[in-house]
Amino acid sequence: MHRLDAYAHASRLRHVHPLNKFAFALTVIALCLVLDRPAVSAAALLWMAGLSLLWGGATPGFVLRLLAAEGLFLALGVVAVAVQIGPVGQGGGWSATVTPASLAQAGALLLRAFACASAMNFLALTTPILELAAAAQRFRAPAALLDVTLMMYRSVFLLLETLMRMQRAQESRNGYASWSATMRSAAALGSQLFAASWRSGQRMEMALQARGYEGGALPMLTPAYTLSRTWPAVACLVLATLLGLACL
Amino acid sequence: MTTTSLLAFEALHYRYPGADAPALRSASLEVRAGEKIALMGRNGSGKSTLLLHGNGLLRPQQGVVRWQGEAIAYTRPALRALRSRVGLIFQNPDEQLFAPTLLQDLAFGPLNSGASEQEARQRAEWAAARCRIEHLLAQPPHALSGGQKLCAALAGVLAMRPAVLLADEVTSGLDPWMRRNVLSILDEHVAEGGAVVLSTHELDVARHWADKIALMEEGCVVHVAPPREFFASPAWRARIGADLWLFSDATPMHHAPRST
Repeated sequence: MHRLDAYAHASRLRHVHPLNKFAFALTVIALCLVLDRPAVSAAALLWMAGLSLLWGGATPGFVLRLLAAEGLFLALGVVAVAVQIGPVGQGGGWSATVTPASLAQAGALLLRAFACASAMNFLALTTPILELAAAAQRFRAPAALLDVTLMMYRSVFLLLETLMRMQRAQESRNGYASWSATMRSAAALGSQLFAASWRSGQRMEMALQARGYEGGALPMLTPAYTLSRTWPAVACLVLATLLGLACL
Repeated sequence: MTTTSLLAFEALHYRYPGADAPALRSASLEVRAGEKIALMGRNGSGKSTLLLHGNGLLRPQQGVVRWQGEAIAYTRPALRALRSRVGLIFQNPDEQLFAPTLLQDLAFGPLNSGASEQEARQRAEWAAARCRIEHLLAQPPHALSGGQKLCAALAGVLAMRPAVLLADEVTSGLDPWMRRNVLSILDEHVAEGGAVVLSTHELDVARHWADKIALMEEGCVVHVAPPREFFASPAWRARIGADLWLFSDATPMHHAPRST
């Protein structure tokens, strides 16, 4: 999560308005689903991964690891499409069969899902999630919801750091040396983490007050985005490629 | 030379809910423009509690906190004004930084004080430059190192342009270079007519950086004096823990007494 966030903040596409990137990713996903062509899915997958790497600035290793993790999950999902299980004759037995048609169907489905995942990866690798949430204010998302998202997002990183520190402290005293010790340590970690996050939340509230916060929506600067000609041109090129492939 | 009294704590008394003993008992301290005060005392002596009163986060059960001679009213406008004048930097910067980017975090205080977006942005950029972190403005707080986080927390308070800075053990745990950087930022603030109260356990900081040491014991400020007075007297040296110092400034390390 740290690295995904770091790439999003360092992305060369960060200056593009988050809603533009969101609309673009959503359109690519919609085209993959509606056009239902393996060539379209494959092109979308390559375009999205390519943009994340070459323009977004993510490393190939990280993009591949993301796709591999998603691929594992998606592959498990399409097994049910590839393998058909049914009763054999009158005897009451069952058989699992794989036909070329079911394999092709599973492959196409996997490719389509990969393409959609790749579009979401592009968004995640080029747009900090909080900028996306802040941009949602345009759609009249409640300010309180955005504030909660903001604080939770920050808390996740703080909690992860606290969790790692506590876990290391337990491990250094053989807290995970046996099955029973692991169970004991994990239970203690869970309860202590809750208490630590509660205390941390209290202190954070105090720190906000110290800088003049009096309740209500957290005042934030509006992020500045720049208009570029390259971004719409590339976005249109990607969408035109997908539509063109569908017409072939 | 007589300087203006900025912040004054007068006979403050405070007991945390459920606590057996009061955290402050008749604690008094005056902070004048241009002063660098090291607030010292054992753990639990009431240093942090006193600083929380300075920013209006805690309200004394007895006693008065004054700004330029006037008692704080604890109304919303009075607290807003106080927090623009008296900045509080917490010991753990992680609990102070919350915004998606450093720029937004630094602009938070000015926006709360009623600054326009443009002014808040300018103040945030000024504070970042003052704390030598202007190259980090687009970064999220969790991507910063410990020292950078501390500078960011300091910049977040400086962006509010306070006259008095209350810093709660902000130099502890820093490497010597980062500590010197933080102390120089505090010095620049004082040179511009501000004042700093730094709660610390570091004897060398108290001795060489501060103009005055305020010693707290059991919730009370028992003595305020220049560092030389504290370090010259064996009795005061003992009370600030300087008699436990392993190495004196003049003693090279290889001549230092061996600990047993």
